[in-house]
Amino acid sequence: MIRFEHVTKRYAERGDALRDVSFTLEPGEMAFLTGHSGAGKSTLLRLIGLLERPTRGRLSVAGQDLGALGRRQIPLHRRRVGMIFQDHRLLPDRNVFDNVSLPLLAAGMHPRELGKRVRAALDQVGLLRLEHALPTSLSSGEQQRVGIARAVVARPPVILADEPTGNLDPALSREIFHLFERFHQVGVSLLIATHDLELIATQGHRTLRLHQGRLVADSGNW
Amino acid sequence: MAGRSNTRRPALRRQPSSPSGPKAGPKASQKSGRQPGHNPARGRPQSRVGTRREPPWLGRLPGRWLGNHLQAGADTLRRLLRAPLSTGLTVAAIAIALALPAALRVVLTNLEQISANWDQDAAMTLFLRPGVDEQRGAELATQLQARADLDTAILISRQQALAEFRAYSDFGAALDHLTDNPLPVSLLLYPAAPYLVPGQALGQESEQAANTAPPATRDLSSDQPPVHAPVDLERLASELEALPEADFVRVDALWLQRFAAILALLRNAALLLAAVLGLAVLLVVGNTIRLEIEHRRAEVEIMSLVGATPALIRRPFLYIGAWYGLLGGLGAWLLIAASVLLLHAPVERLTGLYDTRFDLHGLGLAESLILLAAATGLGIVGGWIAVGRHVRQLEPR
Ligand SMILES: Nc1ncnc2c1ncn2[C@@H]1O[C@H](COP(=O)(O)OP(=O)(O)O)[C@@H](O)[C@H]1O
Ligand SMILES: [Mg+2]
Repeated sequence: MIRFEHVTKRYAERGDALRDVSFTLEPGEMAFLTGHSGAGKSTLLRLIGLLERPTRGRLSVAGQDLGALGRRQIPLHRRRVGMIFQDHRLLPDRNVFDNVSLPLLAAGMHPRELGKRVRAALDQVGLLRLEHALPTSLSSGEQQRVGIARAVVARPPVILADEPTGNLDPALSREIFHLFERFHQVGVSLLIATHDLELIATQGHRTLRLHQGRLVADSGNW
Repeated sequence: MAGRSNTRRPALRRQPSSPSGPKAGPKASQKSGRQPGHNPARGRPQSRVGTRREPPWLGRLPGRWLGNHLQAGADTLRRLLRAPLSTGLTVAAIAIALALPAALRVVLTNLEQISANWDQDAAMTLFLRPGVDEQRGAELATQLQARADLDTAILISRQQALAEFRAYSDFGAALDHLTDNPLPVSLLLYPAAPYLVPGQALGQESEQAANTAPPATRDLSSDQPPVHAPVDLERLASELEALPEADFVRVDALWLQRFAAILALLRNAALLLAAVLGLAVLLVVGNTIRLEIEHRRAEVEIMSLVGATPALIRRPFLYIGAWYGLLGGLGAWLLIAASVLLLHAPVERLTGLYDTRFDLHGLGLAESLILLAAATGLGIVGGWIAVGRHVRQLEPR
């Protein structure tokens, strides 16, 4: 589903954030991405979401070489990749429903048609009753679940999460991972960057470890 | 790492595109049945919601497109009206910037209307020497009317002149004390058309006369040669002044010539003013929208993140520009309509003094529509300029 071939990402100011990274994530696979802060986890996820482009190497998602995608095809690609962030990135002046509906609006769906889809996504993360609440009135865990609902509402085949539980206590973190597990079970490919080594250990999924931009380990047991 | 993927094979069975997987098929359908909201499968038959993913809406595309735009336009207007003060200030700035060139245009239209009336009778007045009596004046009138370059010559007697003077000036009472009529006999002369109309036509036609072939050749070449060469009003005036009975000739048309030159100048000034103030409108709208984008930066970024096209990201801001432009245009129109209304009575009084029938015109329908369209267009362009840079910043590097 996701294929990195000798991918390097260099920032002019900082040098290489990713160095010669190669791996393949199969369709429907769920994997964790770990490593110290600054190891390049966010950079790797941003490359997959085509928020940035690799300096060198080849990167393809669902068989599509991202280097071959022009400016006009980027939006389409992003609709097929759901992204979740540590800081949620919700719009504070829009209620939960409106926040979750953004990907559908981006895909050109008429506002009148998207209610069902948005509520289904909210139902999955257990927030149906909060659809009219503003994100700022929610707890951190609830906000993260809104972010997850937004990532899955358009039913992308790939979900990327960048330290989704970074701010959450262990119980809430487990809840979030439980959600991911359920998406995994319905066939979504997931790549989750996290520091939460304990949780990773209990889950027994594949783990990719980055160290200073290099992929240094690829297993569930490192 | 290739070996890795082999050990990961089981995951493949849950892959949506292979529903034939021996175990995952029923399991997945069971799951998705319970969670209708999440089904990444494309074309998985049992998913009710999934079949809605590609509705046959291609046929209703124009309707949907229009609906989306109407929605965006209405949303944007509602947003603008939620901040009436800042919206009002921006709209007022645009309205004033647009009203100035539009007002100049109105002034020009009215002045042109006046000069058009004058053009019709490019008259000149020949004042006779004080000693010349009315009988001689009448003879002269008959004589002059025979000239090819004059159409009509009308005798104005001294009494007529005095009566007219009394009627159209404020000296009526003073004139009552005069025992003697100080006014001379005069002739009102109408040159035969075609004559050189002062201003643009004068320039063009004299150039033509100077640059093109001599009259004889022109007569041969054209089917209908002119009856006579266009009358040069200035030369005619000096010829008439040379008559022994003549005192002096007043060519109203000469004044008209200067007037036309002023009009031409004003027309150029109006264009320049329109260009400069159009630029001002662009700047006002552009800057307002730049601030708006700054304010909604998070929204723009997230829309881009979730796969909105640049067109969709631009859309609300272009609508803001359009609304600002349109509202500013309406404001300018109202300013002008109000001014015309206010000036109507004074102008009527003024033109009454000159015995001219003159209607003060505001903006016509076509001009009003052009004003509104140009204003809206400027708003959209201003929005486009402001939003373009930000949209480019969203592109991956
Ligand atoms: N936009 C950027 N510009 C310059 N350097 C960056 C940028 N993003 C990340 N980096 C650098 O790249 C390296 C990897 O960063 P990041 O991918 O955010 O690591 P992680 O998410 O694992 O903490 C860091 O050294 C960071 O400073
Ligand atoms: Mg990071």
